[in-house]
Amino acid sequence: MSAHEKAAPGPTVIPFGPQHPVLPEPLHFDLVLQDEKVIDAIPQIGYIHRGLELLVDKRDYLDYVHVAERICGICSFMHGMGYCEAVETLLGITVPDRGRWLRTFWCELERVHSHLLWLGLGADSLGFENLFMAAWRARETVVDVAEETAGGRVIFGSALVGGVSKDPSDETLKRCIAAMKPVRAETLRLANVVMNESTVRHRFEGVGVLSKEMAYALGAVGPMLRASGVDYDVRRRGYAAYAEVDFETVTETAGDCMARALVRVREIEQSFHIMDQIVATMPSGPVAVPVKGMPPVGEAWVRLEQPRGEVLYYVRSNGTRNLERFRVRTPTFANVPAMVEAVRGASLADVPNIILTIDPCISCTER
Amino acid sequence: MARTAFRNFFTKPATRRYPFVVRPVFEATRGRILNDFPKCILCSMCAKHCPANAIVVDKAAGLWRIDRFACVICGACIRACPVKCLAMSNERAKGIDFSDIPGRTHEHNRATEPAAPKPAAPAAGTPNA
Repeated sequence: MSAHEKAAPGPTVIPFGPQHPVLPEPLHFDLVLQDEKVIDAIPQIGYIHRGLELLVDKRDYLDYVHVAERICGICSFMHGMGYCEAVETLLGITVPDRGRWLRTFWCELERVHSHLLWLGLGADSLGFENLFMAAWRARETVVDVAEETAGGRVIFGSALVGGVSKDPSDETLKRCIAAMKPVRAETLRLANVVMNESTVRHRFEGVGVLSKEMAYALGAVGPMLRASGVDYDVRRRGYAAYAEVDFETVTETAGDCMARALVRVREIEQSFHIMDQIVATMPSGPVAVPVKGMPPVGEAWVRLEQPRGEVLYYVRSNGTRNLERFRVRTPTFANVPAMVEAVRGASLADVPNIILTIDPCISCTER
Repeated sequence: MARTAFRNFFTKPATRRYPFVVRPVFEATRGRILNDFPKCILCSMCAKHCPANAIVVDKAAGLWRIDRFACVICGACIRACPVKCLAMSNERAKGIDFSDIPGRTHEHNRATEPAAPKPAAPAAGTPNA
């Protein structure tokens, strides 16, 4: 072939990440492009593996909850609580009512703060800085409430095997609900922006479509699955106090980026609705039961619904103070195959949006 | 959103003018760990339960030391303490003075702070880093 002849243009591979302006955490994709179209994406994870699961056989099983909480900065309380629930199942402990109610309150608080954080990051991924700032300003009140009730803004630090370690008074909780009223109004306003703003609609509507069948077949979880029209929410299992509260499982049918955004925005409203009921029906009494002795030989697992979807915790004990195995299957890990499917066929410029609408949490995934 | 942009001309900033305006801490805030050292029996249960290995206890030398940078303020030491001499303060640790690098750790020494006579004397608050 002479220098003047051009070879037929074949696929190009563009590396995406691990350092990329839209990615808060390191995730790498090899995007196989034909012209501007993504024909395949090869994900690669493993940049921030910390070996937290292995620590479980070095730490006392009651102290490990502090390590479990640090798996992720956004769903910290749920990671701690999931570990506790698994160990409680192993030990056959029943958490007192007030403890269960407080756990539900903090779970929903975390969901609100995670979804508002996501809304900011999603807006940032399409260059909508104004919405980003507005969402994060609203979130500030929510993390303040977390600090007032649990003691920490990000790492709540209130999960404990046998219950919870903090007991905010009923007045504090009522004051917190009142303090979050403006956040509710602001969320509705931001939901309106997401639905009607032309820049958001241009970037989100019809982009990264995941069909109901594919979402189900690829094992997608959380808002990713519900945005494709599958009504599946682990909270319906009724762990903590979810059996006693009334809430709606938010689903959308379009399966595109817009549907995923709307599921999250509407879930915020549902979370506030749950928190209202929790505070209104808060029982009195102890928040934790004392836990003594060694865990019995055996294994246990529980499932929870995190802001990003279903998470599974597995613990195995050999009868000593150190558990033998702890395993977390995180929602982002479950969503990676669906994410690859959603990216396929999109144009290169839409890839950041699509990846952001999965709400990837790579720290969770790699533990 | 245009309304928001317009309104922002007439509203106060959403942020505080830190460090002139500091948000007060909440009662429940996990700030830092305090040791009421005269009550301490140097049993090293706190060091054993610390997930960050921030606490070092040397019974022979009469030393109790916490590394404020390593401490994750989880409160595991407080729950483990058999004499309840450890407590959570809602005041965060002050900024670190880098002219004095060991300042990142806070140390209690039996030589300067003798153990409380039995029965335990009223808690003498120890100045902290």
